[in-house]
Amino acid sequence: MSLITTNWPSEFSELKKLEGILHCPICYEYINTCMITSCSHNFCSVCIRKYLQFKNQCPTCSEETYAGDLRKNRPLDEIVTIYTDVKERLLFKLRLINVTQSIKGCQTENCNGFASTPKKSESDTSSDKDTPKSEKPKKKVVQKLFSEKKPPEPLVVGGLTIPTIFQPRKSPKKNVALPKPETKPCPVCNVDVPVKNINFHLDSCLAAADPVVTKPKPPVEKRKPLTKLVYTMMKEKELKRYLKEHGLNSNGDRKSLIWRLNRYTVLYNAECDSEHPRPVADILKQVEREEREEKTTPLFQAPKNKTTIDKNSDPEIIEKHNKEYLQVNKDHFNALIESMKKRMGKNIKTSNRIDSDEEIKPDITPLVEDQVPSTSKATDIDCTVSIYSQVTVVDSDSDSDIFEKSTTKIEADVHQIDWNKTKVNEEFTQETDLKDETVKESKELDDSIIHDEDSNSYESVFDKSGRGEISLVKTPVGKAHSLSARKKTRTPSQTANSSPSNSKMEKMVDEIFEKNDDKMSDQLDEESESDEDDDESEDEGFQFKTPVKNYDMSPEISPMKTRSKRKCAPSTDEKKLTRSETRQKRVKRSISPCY
Amino acid sequence: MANIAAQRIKREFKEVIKSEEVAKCAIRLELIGDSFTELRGEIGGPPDTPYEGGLFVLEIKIPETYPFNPPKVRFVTKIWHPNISSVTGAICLDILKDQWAAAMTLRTVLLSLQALMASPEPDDPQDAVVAKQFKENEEMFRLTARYWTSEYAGGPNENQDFQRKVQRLIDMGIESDRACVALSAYNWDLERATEQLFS
Repeated sequence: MSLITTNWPSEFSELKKLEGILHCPICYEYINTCMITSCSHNFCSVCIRKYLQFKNQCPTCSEETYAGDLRKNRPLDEIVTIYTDVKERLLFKLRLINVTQSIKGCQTENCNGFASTPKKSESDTSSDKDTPKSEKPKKKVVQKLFSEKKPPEPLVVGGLTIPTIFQPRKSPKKNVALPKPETKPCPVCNVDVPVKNINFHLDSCLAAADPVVTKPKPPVEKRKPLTKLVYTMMKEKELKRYLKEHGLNSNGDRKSLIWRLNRYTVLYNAECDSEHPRPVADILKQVEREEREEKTTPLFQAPKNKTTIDKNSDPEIIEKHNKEYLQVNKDHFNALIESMKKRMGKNIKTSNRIDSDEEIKPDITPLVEDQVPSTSKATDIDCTVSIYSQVTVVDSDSDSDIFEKSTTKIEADVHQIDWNKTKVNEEFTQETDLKDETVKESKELDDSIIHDEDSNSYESVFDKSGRGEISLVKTPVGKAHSLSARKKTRTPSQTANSSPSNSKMEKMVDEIFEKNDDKMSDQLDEESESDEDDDESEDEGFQFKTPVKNYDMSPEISPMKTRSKRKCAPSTDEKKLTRSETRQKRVKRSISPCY
Repeated sequence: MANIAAQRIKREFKEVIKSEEVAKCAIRLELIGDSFTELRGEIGGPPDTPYEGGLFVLEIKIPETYPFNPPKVRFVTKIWHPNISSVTGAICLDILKDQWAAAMTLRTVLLSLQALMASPEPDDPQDAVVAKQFKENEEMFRLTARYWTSEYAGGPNENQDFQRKVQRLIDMGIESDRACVALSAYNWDLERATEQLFS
């Protein structure tokens, strides 16, 4: 295996292969407590057991394998220990030989280098031929080296006997030391022990004596692997009891309880495979340590991109959480918007975010569809919806009923519909007419107006003046035509004119809310995640607060948000206008009638 | 990062660096940051394929549960291949999904990807448009893939015709990437691509 880092010389490449066999393919360390699968692949006991928690197959050949199929492979364990013992010594020898060869090379070079020396050597070994000549010094050197090495060798060999070498020196000292202090026989082992050491000796003696009394080996052999229980089927109480039985910490949520049990089972069973299992206390400590380690890694933490608040909790809390969420993820949203912008070109215009507190003037910008051909396709719109937080989609389901789907801004649309029905709108559109010229300069709007010519619906994009907020609105043909007939374009901030209409609108909204049934829909869509942003905190609050559901929504609406569903009676001259500018204020106002 | 994962990655990183393929400039691996959780891979386009001469950059993310779960790999360099998304670079390869085995390494993954580039599998596609083209008009697929290689992976460019067509669309105000995608999807039929782009 090529992951082996030992640099065996090329003539011993087999050793590299051998080393590869002795490595666990999972952790790439020497196999520790080898287990063999039915397909005869070897792994560390811990590694394979952990792996089988993920998947019941052999990590090498993908054959179906279960923990019960594993068998101990003790010979390989022994080979590993022997190999690791021998390896260092072997490498040392090999290095030595290399050195001798290089020295030899130097010497022969020297011999060749000096014209006189060869002669000398020739004169020394006059009768020898050239080849013996060169061999002789080699032999000498090798002999020298070996003789040099032999002293170390005995040392190395003697390394085992080193204690014996030093013991005599030490033991006399001990012998000298022992008689001096008072000694008392140990009550356990009856050995004479200095009084000052008696406690220490007793501790170790008792610790050693216990297993002796209970026969250490039988319990070791008796250790049976834990059976894997179906933890997901167990109640939390049962889990905790089971944890306590094994001396594990029973705190934490269900997920961590199960994790702990799984990890303990793996480690415990792995120890069972070992010839000399560690004490259970060690395993318990290891489980704790590993849990602590893994808690610091993101895997164990609650996913950051999810809010975990209960939708039934206090709206203020929800609002607060949403604000925090938006703050935290702002960069991410912006990055998404950027990437989307890049990918889609200028089809969709996005907004700069309103940064919270800024007062939003009740601008009314009735936007009327122009027959602007759009380059966007339906798919593009989907993407946009999912990416841009400010996008509102009001979908139409053709036919008689108008099905609208929207995010929280739907009330704004409602306003507009009713508002358009009334004369208020007329006033407005007149005003906007006046401002048409100023508006027309904002050509980007054209880009943002998406007109789906094929289908009988329109998607119009409305821009929030100055802030570039968008809402996509799909309306049925009737509406759209009436809109287009009027040929209105967006009017940016008409602050001065807006207030009267607002008050009227409020009334209308109230009416609508009263009329409509209160339903909550759990419909969710991708939009919602991106939907939350700083300036939407109001909306967030609103979503949770208002049980208004006047519209039937098509099912693609945002997750996390309960969406208002409304059904509008179709009217022939309905106009659909989105006025995102006043959205926030209106949202606020619209809340009150519901409560 | 879990202990075992970090250790493995360190070893595998060394392995790739020392491997023979690196010497042949076929694969490369770089660390991003110090954490061993994110790496950048590079693979050369295999010879005798439309990808020859190109250098393809990969984004490799190591999950916490590595090596029990496969690394997450994605093409950063745009590539025209039935099993690789031309939009996102997502790869459809069994060993990166359910066929992952813990005994595999980053080196084997990179080599497998090279093998995938050499032998597309249109019956199990990631990008349906490319797969359709591959099945219906393999020559067109080869030309397109070669053009993409030259455009995005620094491969040699021979196809002046395709370049002209892309330039036409760019002149019309279309971004070059979109133009390239549209033309490729419509077998380099300029009219249909234009129609699609402006419809």
